[in-house]
Amino acid sequence: MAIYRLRVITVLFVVLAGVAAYSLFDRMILKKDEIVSTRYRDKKFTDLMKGLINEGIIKTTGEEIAIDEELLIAKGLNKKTADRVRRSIKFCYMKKDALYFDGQSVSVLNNRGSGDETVLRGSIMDRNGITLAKSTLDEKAWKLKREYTYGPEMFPVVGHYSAVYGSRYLEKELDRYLSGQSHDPIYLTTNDPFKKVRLGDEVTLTINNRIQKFAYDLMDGKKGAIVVLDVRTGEILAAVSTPSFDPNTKEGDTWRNTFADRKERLYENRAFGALYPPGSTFKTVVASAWIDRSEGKRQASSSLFQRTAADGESQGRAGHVTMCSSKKNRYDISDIHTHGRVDIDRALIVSCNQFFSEIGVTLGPEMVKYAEGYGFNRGIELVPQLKDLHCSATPSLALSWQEDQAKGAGIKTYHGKDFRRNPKIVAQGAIGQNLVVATPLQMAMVAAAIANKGTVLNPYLVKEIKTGDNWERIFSAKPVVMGKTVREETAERLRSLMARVMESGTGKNVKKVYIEGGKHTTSPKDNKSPILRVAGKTGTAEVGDRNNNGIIDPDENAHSWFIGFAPADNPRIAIAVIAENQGLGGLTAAPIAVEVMAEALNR
Amino acid sequence: MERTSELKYLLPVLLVISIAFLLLQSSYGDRNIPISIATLKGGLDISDYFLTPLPNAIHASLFVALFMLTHIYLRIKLPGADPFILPAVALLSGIGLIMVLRLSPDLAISRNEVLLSVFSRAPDATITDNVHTLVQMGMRHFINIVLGILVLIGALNGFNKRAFSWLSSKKYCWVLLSAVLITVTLLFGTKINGRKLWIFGFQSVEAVKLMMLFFVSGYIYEKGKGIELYRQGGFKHWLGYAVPFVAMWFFALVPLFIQKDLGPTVLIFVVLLLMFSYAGNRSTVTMLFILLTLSAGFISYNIGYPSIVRERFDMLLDPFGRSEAMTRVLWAISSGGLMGTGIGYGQPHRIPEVQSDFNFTAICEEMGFVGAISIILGYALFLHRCFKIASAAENVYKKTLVVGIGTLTGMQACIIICGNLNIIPLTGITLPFISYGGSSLIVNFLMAGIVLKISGEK
Repeated sequence: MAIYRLRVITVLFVVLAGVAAYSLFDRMILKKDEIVSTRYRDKKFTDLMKGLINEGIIKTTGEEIAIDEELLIAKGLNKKTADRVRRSIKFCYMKKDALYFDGQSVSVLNNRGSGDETVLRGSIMDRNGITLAKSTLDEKAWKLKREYTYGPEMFPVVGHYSAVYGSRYLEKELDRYLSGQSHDPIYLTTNDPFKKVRLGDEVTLTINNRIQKFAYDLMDGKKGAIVVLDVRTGEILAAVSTPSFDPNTKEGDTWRNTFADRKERLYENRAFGALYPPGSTFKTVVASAWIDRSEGKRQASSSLFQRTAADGESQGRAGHVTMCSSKKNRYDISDIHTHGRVDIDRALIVSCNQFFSEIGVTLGPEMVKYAEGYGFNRGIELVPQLKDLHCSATPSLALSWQEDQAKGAGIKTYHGKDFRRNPKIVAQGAIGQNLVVATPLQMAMVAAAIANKGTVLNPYLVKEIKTGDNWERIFSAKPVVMGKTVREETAERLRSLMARVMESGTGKNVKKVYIEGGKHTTSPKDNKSPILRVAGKTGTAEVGDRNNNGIIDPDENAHSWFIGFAPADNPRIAIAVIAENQGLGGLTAAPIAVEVMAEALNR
Repeated sequence: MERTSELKYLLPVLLVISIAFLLLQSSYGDRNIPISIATLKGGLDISDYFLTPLPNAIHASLFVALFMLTHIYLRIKLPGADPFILPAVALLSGIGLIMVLRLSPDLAISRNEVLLSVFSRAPDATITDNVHTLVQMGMRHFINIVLGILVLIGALNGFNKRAFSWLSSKKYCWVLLSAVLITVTLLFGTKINGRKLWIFGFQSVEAVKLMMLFFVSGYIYEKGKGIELYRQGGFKHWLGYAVPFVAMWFFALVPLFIQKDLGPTVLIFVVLLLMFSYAGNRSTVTMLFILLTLSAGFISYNIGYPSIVRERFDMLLDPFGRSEAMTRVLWAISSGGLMGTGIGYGQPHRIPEVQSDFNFTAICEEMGFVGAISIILGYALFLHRCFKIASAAENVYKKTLVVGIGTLTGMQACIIICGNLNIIPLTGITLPFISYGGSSLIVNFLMAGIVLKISGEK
């Protein structure tokens, strides 16, 4: 009997030991990373503070947040807790006339991983070696400080790094490099031989700080974005997003309110992340599809029947002719001005909606195919050669939509049969409305691709990465070709058409770029200086119904767009400018773009 | 024969422990522990305790010598004793000593920093200045191990046949004595960390645990057939049958209200239940008690009295939201990984009360999954040998006593290990043979001595 009982006890202990061993395995190996990175949040204290706020013991008196001492004592908290409440009052903040307690302030982070090692984050520099962000170490107090040399203009690209508010943009995406985790540690020699300071890598961006700052100042408080690309390499020379946030402000309420503000979105990078209807600038894509198709037919027929070049030319040009009237056409598309009889050239120059809606419906799925060639409907990696980084711009959508991110679904395209079933939507898409949305970066890529004879280059942001001691180059970027969209002849013809837009079309009233003493300028001393030809396309994108309820807000002005490149004959830089709710593209976006291009050409 | 195989197992264990001492010493140099620190009571030379190569060299050689001498003593006096008990004890107490030696400078330094910062802001704060105690912790633990070995040898000598019969005949004496001890402690005890648990530097609850084992074994032995006799005796003997359970409640509930801690309560309850069950208690009664306890816990959680029950259960269910200590423990355990950070290279001093309650966590962090599993295996070996010895022992008293000792050690280890791993509510009891704490260590060695003695007398 006793032996049997002993066995029962033994089994109990074996089970206990097994459970312990399994949980050890679970905690130490299976869920290791998860546990190590979980924050501790003091829920008890947070609840207490919330209770105190609800009971009115912590309240606001005008601007100040204060404690009602009498009530607090009457509450009968012990001395330690009461003191802690008094100390924590600085973590209460006002938002929309309500008082909140910042739970983040009582959370504890496991900073065990870093150990005694201090990481001196690497600097971020622009293409000319000007420091944009750097970390400094105060050896006496042993304190690290992250400094941003430039204010709000660089924030959308560089982002910020903070222990409390996390990190954003390149500071986040390149964290593995900036904190020196990508290779064996390199240590800095300091006064204290026992403290290790790990050096992060130095990152050089393709951004040109001068252009960036110039463009940011030109936006002058308007909401919007500017992207400048190098046509031949695809380097992103500037990516401005306004309004922006100055990461040098002291961490605290300003930060908290900024990052919680979903309306102004100071923290957003509109250049890579915001989707706008591209409006008339999308017509360049439709036109390229139309011209390229007829170009293809001409080439095929000329090789088959040995037609003369002149015949082919006339056929390619003839194409479709539409009568643009003051009434809405059959797809409910109207124009502000009546353009009369227009062909493709004329339609692009004057930006005729009715013409493009018709050829858009004729092209149908082919239009989407060409748009995808330019980069629509897929994410654009901003550091395409580093496969371990996922620093990508939001996918622009051409007649497709992004499924809910939470459901994990990707981009859904508008299927072929639907093109015939619902031509009105396709017609609206062809003039850059409704189901077509694009990031400023995407529209700059369209301009760059046309300027680059139809070859689409993947835009990139990081030029090179060096180890912190400047010893070894870890990464050096090269142009990456995404594909070829249109034939060279098509691109050439579009290029000349876009130049004519600026000469006699919608952009004819925009200021010109003069060459004066080898410099490009828009305000010359001498009006007889030679004028540089610039190519571009304006756009005025109606801000559809934001709330998706079919009602267009009449108070909302249209977005002002411009895409273009310069010089028109031998393109070097491409640009996309959007100014939110600023009306006609030729009035707001185009002058800004021309000035930025003049400045960018001066490099 | 037994002694030769004991040597065969003891030597590798001592070798491993010696290597660990070496690693410990090298980590002192590597971590750049300051030679002296400025405390509130003036300068304190830490190097006297740790930094010079001598102390650890002395510790290592003394530790090896101690266990070798015990082995030789066993060879002469008690050649038939079980060969696995001593290696298991050596492994566990060796790792414990290394852990305490490793923790004490870090704890002292970080404690000193806390004290300095607190007193610089509020000079009249009430906070215990225990930097000196923490610095001397390693030394004291070593002295306790030496004392423990002496007690073990004393037990080998003292617990002869007459002693066992005397122990068993004076069974009610133990209940009285423990009651007296608890009363005296409550009246005249020393207060440490706000709890009155110590009398003459000895934690009385540890002694009470042992007395409880003596009492229960004596009670079961009384009629030769153990509880079964009362059980089959019918209604007449209901009082006799009820006595041990009343004693169980007494022993179990006293520490809950004195010590304000769940650990000893659960431990004593479970151990006594298992011992009664072993002695032939009805399975239905055992089950009833388990159900009663679970429902008592449930009710206690819902009404919130004693408050500690709800506190600890909240901690179990949501460690990352309710308990900073538990969060830190989980972080420490997880950062260990498979092989650990290495002795002296983790940061276990970030955990409060790491030297006593969370010793296992420190082992997990610095010795990894492998080290933690070897600790569990060490206890499993001890337990297995106890049960083997119990089934071979000659009379019921000894059988019950050895099973009691094994169950107590094993259950104590289980409760604190599972508590550390956040499987069951955390309770503050020591890890046998490992945790810092003189009384618990000495009582554990005494128990090991009794087991050895019983195994040798065949």
